[in-house]
Amino acid sequence: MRARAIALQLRCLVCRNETISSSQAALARDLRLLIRELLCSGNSDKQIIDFIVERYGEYILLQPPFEGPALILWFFPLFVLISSIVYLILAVKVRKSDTLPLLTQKETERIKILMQDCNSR
Amino acid sequence: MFVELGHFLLILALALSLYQAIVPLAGVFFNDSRSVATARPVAGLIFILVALSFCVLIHAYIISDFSVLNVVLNSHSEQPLLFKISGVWGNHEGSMLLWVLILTFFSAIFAFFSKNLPRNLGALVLVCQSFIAVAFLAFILFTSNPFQRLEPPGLQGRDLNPILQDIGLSLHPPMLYLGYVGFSICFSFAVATLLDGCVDACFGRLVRLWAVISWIFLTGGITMGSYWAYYELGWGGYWFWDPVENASLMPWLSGVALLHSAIVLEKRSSLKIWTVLLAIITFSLSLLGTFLVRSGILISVHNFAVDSMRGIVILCILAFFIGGALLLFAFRAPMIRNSGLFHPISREGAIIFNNMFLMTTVATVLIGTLYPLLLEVLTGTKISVGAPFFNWTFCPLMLPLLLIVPFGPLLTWKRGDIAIAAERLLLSFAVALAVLAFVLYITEGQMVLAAAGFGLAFWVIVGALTDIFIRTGIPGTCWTLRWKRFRQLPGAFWGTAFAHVGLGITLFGMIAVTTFGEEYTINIKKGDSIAIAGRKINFDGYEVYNGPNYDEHRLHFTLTEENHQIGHVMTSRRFFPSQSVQTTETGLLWDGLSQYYIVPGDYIDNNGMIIHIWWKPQVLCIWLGGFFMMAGGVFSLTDKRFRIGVLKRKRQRVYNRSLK
Repeated sequence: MRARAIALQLRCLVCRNETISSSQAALARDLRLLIRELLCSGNSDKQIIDFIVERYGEYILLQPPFEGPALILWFFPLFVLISSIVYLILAVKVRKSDTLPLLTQKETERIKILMQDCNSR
Repeated sequence: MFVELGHFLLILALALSLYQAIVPLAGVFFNDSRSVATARPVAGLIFILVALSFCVLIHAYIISDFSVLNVVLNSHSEQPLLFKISGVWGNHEGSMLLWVLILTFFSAIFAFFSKNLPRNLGALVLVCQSFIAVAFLAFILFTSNPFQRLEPPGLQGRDLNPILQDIGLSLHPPMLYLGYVGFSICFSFAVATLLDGCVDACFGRLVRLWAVISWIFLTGGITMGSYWAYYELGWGGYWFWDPVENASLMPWLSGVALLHSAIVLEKRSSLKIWTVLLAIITFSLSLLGTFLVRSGILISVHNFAVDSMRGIVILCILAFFIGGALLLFAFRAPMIRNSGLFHPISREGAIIFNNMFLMTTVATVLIGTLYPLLLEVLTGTKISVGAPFFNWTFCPLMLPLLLIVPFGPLLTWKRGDIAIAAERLLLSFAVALAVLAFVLYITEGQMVLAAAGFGLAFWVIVGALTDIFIRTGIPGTCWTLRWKRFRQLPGAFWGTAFAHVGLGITLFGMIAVTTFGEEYTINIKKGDSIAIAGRKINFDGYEVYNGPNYDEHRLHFTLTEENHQIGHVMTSRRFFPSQSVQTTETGLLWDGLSQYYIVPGDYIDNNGMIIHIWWKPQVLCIWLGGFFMMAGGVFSLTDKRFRIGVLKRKRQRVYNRSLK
């Protein structure tokens, strides 16, 4: 179970966008076996992942680490969302303070004529 | 000779596109109505030229003309006819030609139906379309010519990539391209409107019409592509957050935002600037998708060619169109004035909420896709951004959106009452809660998130159905009257209902598969059986079969329940000698909307082998929902407001006839 959980976090380097767990490539099978062996010899999940990352580079991790420059990546959605909310709130405020005449001059004149018509009738 | 003709026709199309990009534009500026008027017929002519050229390429594939380099590289004389034809767009050059074919097709269709538009505006749209056509035709002719001859001719072709030898290839790319490229009309329309004209209800309606058309195809393309990947790759998944999938998801999400905001523009003449910007962004994302796939910059099963020259050229095209349009937007947008005022709690407000979350999601997917590239260029570090990142960011962003979906259609324009809408949604809320409780009960309180997900799916579905009930009357309205009103509901209403129900169905399928799916990888011998989802699957052994251009091992399985045989399924492993490549053919056994999914693994010895087997409950709902969404789009197109002038023309015709 634990071996599978680890394998799901790693990218197969041969198939490019598959996890080690689902890949049928020889390298993936070797890595699955390696994970199992390391587990049996009493390593923790973190130790195993660190070991594999050391051997193959950070590229093998499907999930970017939650630290360093990758934090930009992780917080980007939140940043976009908050800035759009702030923009909307500002837009609403501006509109409220904006004393736009409700009708254009042409419309006001037209209404005047219409009202006169009504009154004279 | 024939092939040279195709090449020549393509050059001719380029020349005509150049003409169309320049002459009508000059006509608009110098007020020369004659040169403006040439835009429409020329659009049709360009389409005919490109179409003929495309036919020539198909012909070369059908007769297996191995003096053409492209045919040699991607075809084989023993390949079935269907795959010979779909092989035309199973490679870089051919698929670019298909892209341009669809672009010119849309231009021609637009030209045909744009009689009622102001002449200058219509011509400017076609000019913008021609600019795009020129860029891509030149790209094809100078960097990726499909008509390149080979000297001396090849004796036999190298065969199409075996993974692509499937009915999926015949349908998925054309559908997807129809979607991608359809948005070009929205883009050109936005550009033309910024140059000349005003952003009014007419703009909203037309942009929406084209956005819906493109969106239907894009939805179809993605749905089909997803199912194709599901059964062809044999990984058991339906979405891999592959960069190329992201490239199609981004314009889709942005397209959804566009076709919602265009309604506001059309009905309430508000959100004008935003809609114009969205029209530009959506097609920019389509272009970006083309760049990502065609430049070979991404690691993916989709890229056929890795050639940096092509990448640079596409990047330049991309920069020109996106940059140019955004620059134009920056200059002209301040002149656009919104006129419709509204309260934040209103249908406009709900649509803004929808747009905000959709575009945030687009931004998220975009950064997730481009971040590894940027990081590698800037620092040289190679990292991967895989499915976990997207699941962690995509799902929380979708959640509020899905919660708000049923509210949207129930709120009124301008100033809505959230209390009334909430009261009307009580039933959906009750159903959602009941489903949540039921799932919690059967999973013994283990799957809280999944239960909430099921509740959400039913919330969306029942919420959309509630709307039908409300539109046909108040509680107590007699059923005959309801039926009468039911049949008179406008197409636009059915569009909303179907699309929203489809969304719920897709969500339901995804959650069902993730929650109740089972997966096994086992070593199996002839006669062995495995228990899965309360049933038994028995391995009956295998046979050898020779296909037209491959050899395969077919493995047979029988599904039994309490010793009754229910179904039979075959899965196979194919070997293609021409490319010495092996593929697996997934065995799918349907059970209602659920499937058993079997893929052969490695052989152990004579009889034993490894197989992967999945139980996929309600998996077909994922794609069924996609078809519902497409149906929604089609209903929306049948709405009366898109047929303005039809009645008038008909009356005119009758009148003319009576005069004779």
